[in-house]
Amino acid sequence: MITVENLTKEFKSYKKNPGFKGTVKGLFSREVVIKKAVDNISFHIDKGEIVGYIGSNGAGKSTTIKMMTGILVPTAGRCVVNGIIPYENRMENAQQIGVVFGQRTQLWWDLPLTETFTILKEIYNVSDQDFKERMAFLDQVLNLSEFINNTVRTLSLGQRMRADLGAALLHNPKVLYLDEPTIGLDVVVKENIRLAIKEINREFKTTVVLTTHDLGDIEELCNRIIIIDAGKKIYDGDLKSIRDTYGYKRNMDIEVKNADQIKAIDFNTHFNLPPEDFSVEINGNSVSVVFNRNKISAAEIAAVVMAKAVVRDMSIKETDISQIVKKIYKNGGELAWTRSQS
Amino acid sequence: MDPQSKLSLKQKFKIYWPFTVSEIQGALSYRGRFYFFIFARLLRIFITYYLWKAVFASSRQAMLNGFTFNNMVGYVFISYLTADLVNSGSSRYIGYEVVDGSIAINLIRPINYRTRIFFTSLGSFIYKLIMPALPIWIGFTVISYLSVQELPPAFTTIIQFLISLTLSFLIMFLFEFCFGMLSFYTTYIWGLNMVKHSVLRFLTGELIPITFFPAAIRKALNFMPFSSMNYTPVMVYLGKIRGVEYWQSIAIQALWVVILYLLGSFLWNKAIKRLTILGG
Ligand SMILES: Nc1ncnc2c1ncn2[C@@H]1O[C@H](COP(=O)(O)OP(=O)(O)O)[C@@H](O)[C@H]1O
Ligand SMILES: [Mg+2]
Repeated sequence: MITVENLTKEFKSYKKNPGFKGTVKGLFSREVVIKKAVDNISFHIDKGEIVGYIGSNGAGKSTTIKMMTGILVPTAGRCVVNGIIPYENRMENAQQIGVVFGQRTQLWWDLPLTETFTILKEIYNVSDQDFKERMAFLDQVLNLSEFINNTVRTLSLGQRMRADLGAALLHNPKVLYLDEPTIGLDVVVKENIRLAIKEINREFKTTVVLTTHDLGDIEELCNRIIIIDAGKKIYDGDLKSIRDTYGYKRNMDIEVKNADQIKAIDFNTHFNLPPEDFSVEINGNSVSVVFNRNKISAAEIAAVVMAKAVVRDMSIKETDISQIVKKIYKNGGELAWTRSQS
Repeated sequence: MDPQSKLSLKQKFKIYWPFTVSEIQGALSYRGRFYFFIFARLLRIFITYYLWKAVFASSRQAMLNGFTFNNMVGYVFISYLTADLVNSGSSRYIGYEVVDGSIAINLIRPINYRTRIFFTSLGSFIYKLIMPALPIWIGFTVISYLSVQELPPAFTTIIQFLISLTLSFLIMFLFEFCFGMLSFYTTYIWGLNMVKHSVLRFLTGELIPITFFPAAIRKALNFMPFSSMNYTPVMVYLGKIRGVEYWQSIAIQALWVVILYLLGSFLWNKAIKRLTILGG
């Protein structure tokens, strides 16, 4: 369905010097800064797959999506979506895709939502019968009728996102691109959005490419993930191996009065766990513990620490993408089992 | 190639017409600003009126370059109305969309960006026609009749004027679209817009009839679209362009529509690749 080959995108920008003098200088000599946002990425996605395209902020996710949707033209390499090169046949490509950018709406700001759907019906040439069925389905999974008569500008973020997703699906696209579709949403709306995506994928065999840095989205939706960092692909494979390695990981950050007290603790005698299940890193007065919650509980660790040291503050987090990325680098890409390209 | 070429005209209309409606509704919801604009416009008309009054009073001739004083008053009014009607400010609009990136919405949908902007402009044309233009025109016509017994032009002249006005609107829109493509290349589109606005007021004949310009400039203007944007319909209204000359002028206007349309398509195809550099 989607083939991406050596896709590269460079952004050229001009270094700006501060002040009036700098501006004048800039008129005559401009220092070009080249930023490789996407660096020689290749992959292939089959029909009906839900692929998580993940990476930390600024990794190049949106830039890749923009090339696949035909908004941006690559600097090098190419991508083909269902036989069409998006940035060369923009209109044709647009006919068969649906896009949601979490950070900005795809709806026309000034129009009431109903109007938007009516326009979309005409744009995509959806028959009356299909329109009725599709709207009923979308209303069922996204509850659009609650706010269908409102102007887009008056919608809340959660409503807007649901509307955006509905508007991306009205014409039953073959490929659905979702760029951070759950960003900024509360848990309930997040869950609704995820369910809707799943439902659509099952019902219509829609191929879904999803960028996110929310591991929850990935756990619930994706059977395959591609991780990129600094524009480069560092992992392409199933979620299972990632989950096995990181899914049960938790992070405990402890702020102590005196780090020496922690250094004095011999954790091995207490827990006797291998480093992949329990590791401690001390940085000044902050201590960062990474542990496997199936092997040991946070309470046990806290008890040992508090018995020996004066604790000022303590917090527990799930592992996030940036830690996974760090870990993959540390392991020298050992995890980076890469799919063969076709 | 273009999936929209399969659509019927009616379907296309259904797709783009809501943009016109939304523009009209938007204008209606900012009525306060609107009245202010009318006031500002009228003020400008009256200043120009007194300016010409002084010019004619200090001249010993009753006619200047073929214009009587009453002609000139008509010119001032109609040219201001026309200029206001045909200028939709699309280039500024495009500038906003490029800078804030919302232009991307139009790229992921199978719609034609220029057609979309055109229908938005059409909205502003329609409300300006109904709201300030028509009442001002009626007021002007009544006062002209009461004060100097001047009758409005014949019905056929008004039809001819409306045809020419429509072409002016198209030319201006297409020109604005081409100009808007600059916003892909510079973030300084606002400044350029100000300069463009001042230059256009001069070159289109909005301020001074083009017959008052030196011969060399008039010749040069023959090869440019500016007189087709305003001067032509106003002169048609005043009955100074008629008969064969009328049809020639219409043909020139139509030619500019074609030229600017093609130029716009060309620039759009170039600019859209450029979006890659400025980002989306
Ligand atoms: N228009 C642009 N001009 C210059 N640099 C850009 C532009 N768009 C994105 N970048 C840079 O490219 C990198 C990747 O951006 P992006 O694809 O938006 O990341 P992500 O979506 O993964 O957070 C970032 O470092 C970003 O600053
Ligand atoms: Mg992004």
